Amino acid sequence: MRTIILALISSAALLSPAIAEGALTVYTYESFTAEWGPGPKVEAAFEKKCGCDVKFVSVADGVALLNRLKLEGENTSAEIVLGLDTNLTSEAAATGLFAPHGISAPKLDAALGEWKDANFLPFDFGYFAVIYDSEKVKTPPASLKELVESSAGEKIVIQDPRTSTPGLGLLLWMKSVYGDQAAIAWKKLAPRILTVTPGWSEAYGLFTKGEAEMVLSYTTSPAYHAIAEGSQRYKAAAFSEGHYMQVEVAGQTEKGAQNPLAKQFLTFMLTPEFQDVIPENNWMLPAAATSKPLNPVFGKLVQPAKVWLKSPEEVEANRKAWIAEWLAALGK
Amino acid sequence: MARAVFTALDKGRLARGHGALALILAFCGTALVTIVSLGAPSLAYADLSGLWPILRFTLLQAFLSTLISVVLAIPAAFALDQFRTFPGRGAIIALFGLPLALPALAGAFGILALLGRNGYAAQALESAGIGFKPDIYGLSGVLIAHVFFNFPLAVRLFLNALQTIPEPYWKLSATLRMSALQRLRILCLPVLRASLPGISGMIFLLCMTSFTLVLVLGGGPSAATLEVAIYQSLTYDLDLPRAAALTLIQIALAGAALAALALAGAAPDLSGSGGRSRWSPALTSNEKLTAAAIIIFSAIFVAAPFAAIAADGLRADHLGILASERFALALRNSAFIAASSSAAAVLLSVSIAAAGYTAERTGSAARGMFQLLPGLVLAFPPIVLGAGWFILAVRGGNPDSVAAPMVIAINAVMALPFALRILIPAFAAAAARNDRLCQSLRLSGFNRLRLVDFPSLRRPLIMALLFAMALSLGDFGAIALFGSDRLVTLPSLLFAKLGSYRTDDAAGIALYLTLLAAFLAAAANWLQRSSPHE
Repeated sequence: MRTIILALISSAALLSPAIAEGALTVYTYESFTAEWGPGPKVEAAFEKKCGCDVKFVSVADGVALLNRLKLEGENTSAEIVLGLDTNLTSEAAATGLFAPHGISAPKLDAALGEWKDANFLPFDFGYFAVIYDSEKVKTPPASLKELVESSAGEKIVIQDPRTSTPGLGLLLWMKSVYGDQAAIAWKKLAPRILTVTPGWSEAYGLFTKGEAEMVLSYTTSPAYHAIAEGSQRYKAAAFSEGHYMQVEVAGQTEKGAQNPLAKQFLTFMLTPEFQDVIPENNWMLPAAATSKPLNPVFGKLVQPAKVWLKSPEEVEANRKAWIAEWLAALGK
Repeated sequence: MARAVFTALDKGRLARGHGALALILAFCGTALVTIVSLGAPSLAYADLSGLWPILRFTLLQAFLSTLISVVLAIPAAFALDQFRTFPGRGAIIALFGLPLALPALAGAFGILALLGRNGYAAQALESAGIGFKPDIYGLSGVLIAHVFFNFPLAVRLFLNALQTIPEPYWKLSATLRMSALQRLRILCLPVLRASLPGISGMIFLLCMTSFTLVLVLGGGPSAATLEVAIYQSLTYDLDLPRAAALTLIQIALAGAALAALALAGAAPDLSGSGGRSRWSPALTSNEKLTAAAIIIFSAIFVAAPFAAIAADGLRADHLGILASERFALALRNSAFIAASSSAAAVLLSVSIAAAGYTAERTGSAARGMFQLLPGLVLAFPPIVLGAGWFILAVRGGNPDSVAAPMVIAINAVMALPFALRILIPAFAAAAARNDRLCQSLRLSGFNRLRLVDFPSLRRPLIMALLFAMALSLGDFGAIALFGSDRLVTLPSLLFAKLGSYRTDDAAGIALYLTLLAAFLAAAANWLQRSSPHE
């Protein structure tokens, strides 16, 4: 017991005021700051540029990031929040904690279209895709419809839309393609679903252990296996209806708006120095130009025939109802 | 009956025990009150939709998991108890302490490597030309995983209960030429029956609050426990009224289950300090054969997933993992957290065990509390503990700076029920032996601690410490909430590796965790075997 008390006292003494001179506090998710993630490289590059100290505070994922902000409210020490996706930005803006980024007409990848969000700027994006094991699946599904309606015995692992962003992505993808018929489609797909995991990690782990022939992931997943492992075994299935997009964004808080470093960081985020780090560290596609062409592996990835992306407002307004529909369709 | 006389010793023990109880209740209560009060205005209108199927599945899987674990554990414990000369018996008992220290996900992967669609069993069937593909996802997968984690625990608890049977009984049974089955029926069943409610209760609560296993092996959203719903409402929806309402329901359910079981029997004993006899029953060759078969099957069932974990783990890039700074940091943090939380758990448990003994002996009204506490703590969802304090820490400033103490405190509370199961019986035995002598020698305070209490309780204390360490090593619940890039532990590193395509590295870390746990279990077993005989 004494240990706890001592530890509590000593750590209370360590509580320091959030901003020191020439420092920038960035809230992000854990895989961004992992030693193999983009965080360390981005930090070093920006610190060299600004002569300041970047402090990362990382939480489990984008959803946890938003909840952390909601809990902290105006007391938050975050100046930059990096790692929300567009499914969360409407809710995030509603907290009133964010300030406009003030960057007009950012130069972005053509896939992102004309950027209209005044609070958030994209730093990378990707497309959801069904990844399959080419040693076991000889004729992968060519469309979402084939995946849903085929009687093939191959199984897929998906994520729970209640606890993970890819899970929500698939839900929105099905909703985009099937509309009112989504519940029926989910019922048809049900026998092919091996299990529904809480997050991406468990699903992908089950897949690479050979438990299922397919998994919901990103079109960029095969790039990891090709570049880091030299393996062509895992491939993304191109769906004729198109693929659902995920756009990861960052924004500055009201508190950050008072620190010139925050805006400098957002500007830096769209420069090649930052963007160069994204493809082979975050395994997503860069949101803006890089200094040199990407590894040729990225050029061979599935290019969606059509891109689906619902507006943040539509997602926020319907998320609960759609999840309830999903639950009813898959619950026995 | 004479009125109880409280000596200075009794008063001191009771005061320390009440202090420990108050501390634990305050720690758990603060977390609960935080969440309930934040959800309070709308608690009555909390969105409880979809609750009924969750409740039904939670209770059904917990009931079945407990039933299977316990039914299988009784013959296994009896076989291990009777066949004392079975080669490797000590190692098998140590093996049964391992699952406790394994993060649930690593255990799930181990089970799948064996029984999954691509597991060894499936591959063997395929090469034998049998076209049957095992598919354990669903209720069966959840049950298999829960039995893997809890059957060994139940065996150890039953084994300890059997070891309380006094030696003269066994000698008498030999004189009467009882068969093993007669010994089981006449000598063992009464003891097993008495310990059954406590053991079942403990396992029921562990399964009821299960989370990762249920989601990964459950096969779909219809397999979800209350704990899953609490997690979802806390971390994803940030729906505090719903989280608070669900937590209250879970605690009420667990409390009801515990109360029903408490009426029916004694608390389980993990210490193995009961009158251990060196008497070894003479078994006929048929009895030996049956016992050996039961022991071997049980050992294979528990060992096989570990063998799969080891086989997977060996493929990892060990030099790469071991050389990384992050691994060194995770190892240091895990060691520090395990050491601190187990020390805290043992200090609290000793205080409660001492007070419980005194309360029992003097017939104090407080004795119910000391008995009930171990179970109630198990019923408290660690995620609520974590979330409540997380919210307070966030409001109070910078949660990252209180993260380590919080994880330590939460792990300590989670280990309490186990540490108490070891220390309560051990303390009672020691106190019954030493109290009068010390009083007549006027030995008290620090001198008594140094000369009498510590030497006689040294082994159970270290055992409780090792048990609590193993639990803390495998914990991912608390660290998932409070962990950050600085506070990485072995389980959180395992998860991070898995979360960024590094499946082989994750398997390597699972192997290290298993080895660490094996070391702790072997140490605990060695201590148990060499515990003193009076």
